[in-house]
Amino acid sequence: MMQLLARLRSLWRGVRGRSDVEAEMNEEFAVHVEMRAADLERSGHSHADALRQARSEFGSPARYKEEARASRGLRRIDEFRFSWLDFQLGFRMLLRYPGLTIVGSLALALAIAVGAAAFEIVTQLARPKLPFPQGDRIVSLFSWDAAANRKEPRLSYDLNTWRRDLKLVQDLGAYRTMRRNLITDQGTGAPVLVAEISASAFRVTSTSAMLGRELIGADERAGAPPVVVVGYDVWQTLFSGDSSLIGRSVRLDNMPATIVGVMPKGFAFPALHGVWIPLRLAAVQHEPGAGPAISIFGRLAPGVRLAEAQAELAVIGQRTSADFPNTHEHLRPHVMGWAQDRSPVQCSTVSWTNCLSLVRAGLYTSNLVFIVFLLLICANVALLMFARAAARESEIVMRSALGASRGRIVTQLVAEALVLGAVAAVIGIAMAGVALKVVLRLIALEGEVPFWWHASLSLPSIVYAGVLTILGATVVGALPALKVTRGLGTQLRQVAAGAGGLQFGGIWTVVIVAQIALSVFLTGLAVYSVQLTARIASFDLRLPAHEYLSVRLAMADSIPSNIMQELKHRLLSDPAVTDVTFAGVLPGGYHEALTVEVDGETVETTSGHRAQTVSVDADFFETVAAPVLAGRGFQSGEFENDRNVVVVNEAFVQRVLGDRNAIGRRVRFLVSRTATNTWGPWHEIIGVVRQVGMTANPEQTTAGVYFPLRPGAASVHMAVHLRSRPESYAARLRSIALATEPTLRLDQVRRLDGIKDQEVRWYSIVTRATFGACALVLMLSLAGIYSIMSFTVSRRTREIGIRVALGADRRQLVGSILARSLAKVGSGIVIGVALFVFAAGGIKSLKVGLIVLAFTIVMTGVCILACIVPARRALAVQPTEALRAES
Amino acid sequence: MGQQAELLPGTLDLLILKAVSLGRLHGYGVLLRIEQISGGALQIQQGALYPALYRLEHQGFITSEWGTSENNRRAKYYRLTTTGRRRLGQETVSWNRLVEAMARSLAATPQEM
Repeated sequence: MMQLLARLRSLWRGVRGRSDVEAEMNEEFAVHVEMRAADLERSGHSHADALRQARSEFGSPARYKEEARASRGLRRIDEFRFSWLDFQLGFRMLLRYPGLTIVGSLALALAIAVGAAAFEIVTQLARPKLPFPQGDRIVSLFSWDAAANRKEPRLSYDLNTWRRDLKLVQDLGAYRTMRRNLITDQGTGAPVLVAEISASAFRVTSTSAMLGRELIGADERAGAPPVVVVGYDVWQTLFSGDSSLIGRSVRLDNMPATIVGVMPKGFAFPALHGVWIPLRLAAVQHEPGAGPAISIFGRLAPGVRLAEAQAELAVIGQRTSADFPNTHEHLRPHVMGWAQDRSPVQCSTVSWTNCLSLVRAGLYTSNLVFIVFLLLICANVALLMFARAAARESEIVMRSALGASRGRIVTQLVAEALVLGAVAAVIGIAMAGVALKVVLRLIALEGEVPFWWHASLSLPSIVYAGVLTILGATVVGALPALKVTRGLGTQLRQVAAGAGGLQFGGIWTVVIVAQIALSVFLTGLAVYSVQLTARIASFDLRLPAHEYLSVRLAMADSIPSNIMQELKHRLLSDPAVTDVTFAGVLPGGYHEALTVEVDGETVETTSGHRAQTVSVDADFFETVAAPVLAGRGFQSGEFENDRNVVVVNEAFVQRVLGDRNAIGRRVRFLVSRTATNTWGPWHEIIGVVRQVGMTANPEQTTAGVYFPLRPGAASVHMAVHLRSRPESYAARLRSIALATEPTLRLDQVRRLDGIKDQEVRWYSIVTRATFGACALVLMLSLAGIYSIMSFTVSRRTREIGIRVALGADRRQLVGSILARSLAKVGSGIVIGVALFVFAAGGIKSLKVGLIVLAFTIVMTGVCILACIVPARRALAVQPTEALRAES
Repeated sequence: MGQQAELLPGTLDLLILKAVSLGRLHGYGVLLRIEQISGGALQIQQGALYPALYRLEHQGFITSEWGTSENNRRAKYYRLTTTGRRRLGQETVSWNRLVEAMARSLAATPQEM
């Protein structure tokens, strides 16, 4: 044990302080020489003579130092030290093999980019950070109802208690969110997300207004003049960045207010808010458990840890529970990081700390998937590096013969890979930034994104990218290096005897075949996805959609029918408008699909047909030019009474009813698909209309059912048919709507044919990603095939030369060379096609078949190209030369 | 000075251990001590001592520390460790056994066969 410790200590000293150890040795040797010289002087030598003799007796210090390092076991470690020369050589290799540089660095860059972007997302999910000074000290305080297992939002009373008693959290404040129309003094307006918020929010976030002022305590007092602070985006879009807007009057729905400030770009505290108005809670003293739903924020006092604040809050909570058992018996107050409390990754139990660490661990573990991806890519690049190293075999063998150890050669090849990795890392980090932007845009398509989500790599993610690079480069460099240098001695003899020693193992063949299969499969998938996207993009709404403006209307509770009628009336009196109609969803939007049962037939006989459903108003069919083909449309009384009637489309009659008479038949719908299916009431079919587009889909026609649009919905869509360009009518539409009802919010204002764009956008992103992956795999496998083939054929140069010399048929020879390579490519393609057929349920279209065929031709072409160049070279070898080389 | 003997491979380590077992010594001191205890019969190439010293230190048989020499010069002193002492004992026994065996072998006469 002691011995082992001594060894480790000595090894560590040698590794760590190489120059210190060197200096010590120098000093010790010098002392030795001096002492010996002194002895010699005493025995009568002159000083200079004594010194000369002492030095000569001592021998070569450099040799002893080298031996000393070897005796400490340091020589092996020295072998693995990178020298600047290794890296210089690496740079030279980048230029000398540009193909490998491009393919290898791009492939590695992609793996690094994906890994780093995923790490950044995981970090932002697991440890979100607010972009404020000491943003991690901003906390959320909430009350957990242990009995109901949810947050208790009525916290007005608790806010006052906490403000009074809580010492470790400062600047407590609250907010609530509302959606309002912000109407300017010019009469223009747009829906905005408003935070009714305590003025302390601006202290907590240490952010000041960029124009005017932020909210202050005085604004919260009852009777204070109503003020509003707007965000940068609202300032830009609604006020065109007007710098003199301070003091201008606006309305938030019906509430007039004066603009007092503009917040800087990017500020959206508490989460995604664009307008701030003072929260006037103090005006009313709420009883415990009463008052509006609010959320509470604060900032940890300097030097206080979250756990300490939690402890203090728990004590206060226990006191409140004891004082007000009726409302607070089950309430447990908690404090948590602000962004953490709003993260999509949540724990719904009370033991947050444990749960959170588990969730975080789970999130970080997901990075393993991307590490495996990196290793897969690395294995491929390693193959290319192997081919390069093999091409440099004679150089490597020569170096070995000149005394370079295996470790030294491996180190040099790893250094070359590190240079390649460094190039890849730079590209990869840039790519990761782009990938994050795409991901953020995708999320934004589905909902709003809190302001602390950012599309840039943070420092830890960049460091992580560096770690991935080193890991990748080590694999890419070391794997082929170890294989090339295995049995160098034997190779030395073989080279001396004039024969090549290296062979590609079967594992590479498997990798190549698997890759070709994957790229065929992915190409098929991508082509399929393109077709799907194209079909959706060309989805025929069967109405002149470019003449319509579509808009979503919403109000806080529900939209009263008189407001809808008033709006319709005002619009119709505008000469630009020809028709107006309301519907739950407009053509091209997502229509809910329900399973239908026809009265008198079992679900089995209608084979569980599904139909897309939508509620429409009386003018819908006329407005969208869908004439009633049989029966009638809805009549005015049917929108209020509870008579269940429906209108169906042509496809419904054809597919569900088998072209039989529809009028008077009864249908019902599966409303909840559980163990005991719940069916809705029976509805009578009163009419059949011409087919009009419903959900944009590749099938083009779908069975559809129309219900009468009943009043009381919180949001509804409106289609306005116009005489001229709908886009230019949007502003006018907004002002008419605001004049009709200031609280009526209009969003998603676009041309009717733009509705399906969202669906198309999703598909096209998926398609692009598939194509990207496909291109990468293809690029890797083509490069792999090329390097393996050309390597293998060039290995056989001498053999081919001799066979030609002995009179072999040239054509036969080339055939035999090609056959082996083509077999690999062929089996890859067959497996890929089989996979695709299995996954896609058969090659459905001629186009996909043609693509696969074209793919096969390209692959075969590359394969032939890879073989032909070295094969020609081999065939051109003069038989005499080949024989001479052999002898 | 008596007749000089060539050092057998592997015996330098044993000699160093023996030399430092008699008291702490610096490198040059080790050399002088070996010459002294061998009656000048064994001479070592001066610098060759150091790789052996470092090896023994690396193996934990001796330990070193910086001190001041007799002429007030900073010098590195070596000392035997407990492990080193045990090792010296074992090596001495096995050396003696070898010498004995060798001597017996070399002294053999045809009559004894």
